[in-house]
Amino acid sequence: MIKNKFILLLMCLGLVIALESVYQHNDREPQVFSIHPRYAADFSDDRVLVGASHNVFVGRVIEKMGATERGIGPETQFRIEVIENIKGELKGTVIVNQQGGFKDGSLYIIGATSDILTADGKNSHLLEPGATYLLATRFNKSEKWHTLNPYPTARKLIASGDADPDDLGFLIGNDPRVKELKDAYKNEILLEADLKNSMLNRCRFADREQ
Amino acid sequence: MVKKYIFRIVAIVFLNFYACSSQAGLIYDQSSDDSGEIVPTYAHDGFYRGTVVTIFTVAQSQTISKAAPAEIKFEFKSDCGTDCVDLFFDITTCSDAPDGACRVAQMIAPQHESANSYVPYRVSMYPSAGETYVFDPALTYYVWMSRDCGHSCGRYSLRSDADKNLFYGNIMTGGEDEEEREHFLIDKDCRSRDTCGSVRDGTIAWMSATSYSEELGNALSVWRSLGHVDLELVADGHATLAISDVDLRDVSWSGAWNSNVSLPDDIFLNSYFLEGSSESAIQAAISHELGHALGLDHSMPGNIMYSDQTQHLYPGPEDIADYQYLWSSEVPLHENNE
Repeated sequence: MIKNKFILLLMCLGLVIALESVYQHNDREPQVFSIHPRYAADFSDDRVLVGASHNVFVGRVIEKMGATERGIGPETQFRIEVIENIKGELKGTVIVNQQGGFKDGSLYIIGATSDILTADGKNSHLLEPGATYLLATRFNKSEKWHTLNPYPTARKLIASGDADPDDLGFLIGNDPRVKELKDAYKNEILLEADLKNSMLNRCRFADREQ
Repeated sequence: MVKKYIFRIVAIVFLNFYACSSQAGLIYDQSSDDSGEIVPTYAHDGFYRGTVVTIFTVAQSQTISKAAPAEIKFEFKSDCGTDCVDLFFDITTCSDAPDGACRVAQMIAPQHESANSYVPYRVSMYPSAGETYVFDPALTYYVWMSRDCGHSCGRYSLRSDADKNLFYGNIMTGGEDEEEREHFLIDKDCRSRDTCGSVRDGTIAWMSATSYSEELGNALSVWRSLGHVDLELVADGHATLAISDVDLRDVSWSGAWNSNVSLPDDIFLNSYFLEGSSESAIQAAISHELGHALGLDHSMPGNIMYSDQTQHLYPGPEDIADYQYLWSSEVPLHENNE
C-alpha cells in the first residue's frame, strides 16, 4: 500500500516536472539572427529616401500571407490595403514584402537588433496585422510585391490595430512624417542605379523597336 | 593621438533659462514655484528640433579637424526600439538660434540602440576635409538638436542632474576612459574568438563566388593589416563566411552581412547598386561587410563601419578602437563565457 502511494507520488512529481519543462520551452524567446545592411544611399535625407522608393503610401495590414526564402534570409509577406498614396498610384490591396521573419524557429531581423520583442513576448519587428503604417517600398516585378526599405525612417506606425477607422483620416492628415515625405517628394533625388537601369531598359526597348 | 587635442570642460554653466525659454520647441517647461521663481524642468518625453541639449565652455582654444576629431559624451535614454535613427546636433555660440551664422560645428550620433535606462553615448563632431571647428575659451557653446526626427524615431531623452537642472555634457576625446568607452560591436558581450561575427578560433575561413575579386582582395588586405585575426581562403565545407553576388532591384542595400543559424555566414554584394560603381566604392562596400564579419557594428561617420553609403577604404579611428578592443584586448579570451 505504502509502496503504491510512493509510486503515485513519484509519477505526479514526474508529471509536474514534464509540464514545467514544456511550459518553459514554449515560453522561450526565439534565437535572433541579424542581417546587417549597408544602405544603397544616404536615406537620412528624405529626398533620397523618397527618390529611392517606387511607392510611398499609407496602408493597413490585412493579414500576414506567409514567408519565402530566396537565398538572402527569410522574408515575410503581408497583404496591405492602400489608404493613401504619397508617391505612386497603388490601388486596392498590395503585397508588401518585409525582409526578416522566422526560419527553423529562429527570428531573423534586418537592421537594429534591440527591443524586437515586446514585454509580452510578441514580435514587434515585423508588421502587425490590423495596424496602419506609412511605408516606403521598392517594387519587384517578378514577385509582384513591394519590398519595404528597412531604413528606420522608411516606415512609421500611424495607428495600432484597435484604432477607430473613422480616426484614420485625421491621423494621416495630421501626421508630421506623412507631411515630411510629401514635401520631400517634391524634391526627390533618384538613385543613380535606377537612372542607369531605366536608361538601359529604354535603350533595349529602342533596339527591339528597330 | 587624439589626446593631444584634449578638450576639457572647465565648467558646465547653468542654462540661460530666460533666453532658452523664449524659443519655440525647447525642452524646458516653465513653471513657477511658490516663490514665483521660474523653475526649469526637463521634458523626459523626447527632444526635437530646437532642443538645447547641453552647454559648455572649453579650457583653451581648440581646433577640431577631420584628422583630429572630438566627441561629446551624453547619457541617452530612448524608447525608439527598432526605429532608432541617427541624431544630428549643431553647436552654436548663440543661445537663441539652432542654426545660422553662429553655428560652430555639427555633430552626429549614430543610430542609438534602444535602452530603457540611461547609458553613456558619444556624439562625434565631423568636420569635412579642409574644414575646422575652432572653440574659443571666452565663449559659451550651445548644443542643439538640429534635425527633427519626430515620433518616427521614438523618444529620446538625456539624463539631467535632478538637483541642479544641469545636463551632463562632458567633452571627451577618443582613448580616454577606455574601460568606460562604448564600443560598436555586433554582440556587446562578445569577447571570445569562438563566437564573434564570422570568426572562429581567431580565423575567418572564407570562400567567394563574387565577381568583385580584386576589390575583395584589397578589402581583405586592409583588415589583415590590423592583425590578430587570420582571413583565410578555404574550400567549400570549411568556410565560416561565404561571399557572393546577388542582383536584387527591390531591396535598398548594396551589401549585407547575414549571421546564420549554422555556418557559413553570408556576405551578399548587390550588383544592381554596385555595377558601374568605381573600384573604391565597391571596395568600401566589401570592407564594410567584412567589418561586420569581424564583429563590428555600425558606428560613426568617418569610419568604414558607418551605415550609409560612404567610401572609406581604410579604418577610421572608431573602426580601429573597436577592432583593437575586440581582438587585442588585455582581457583574457573566454573570460565572459565562463
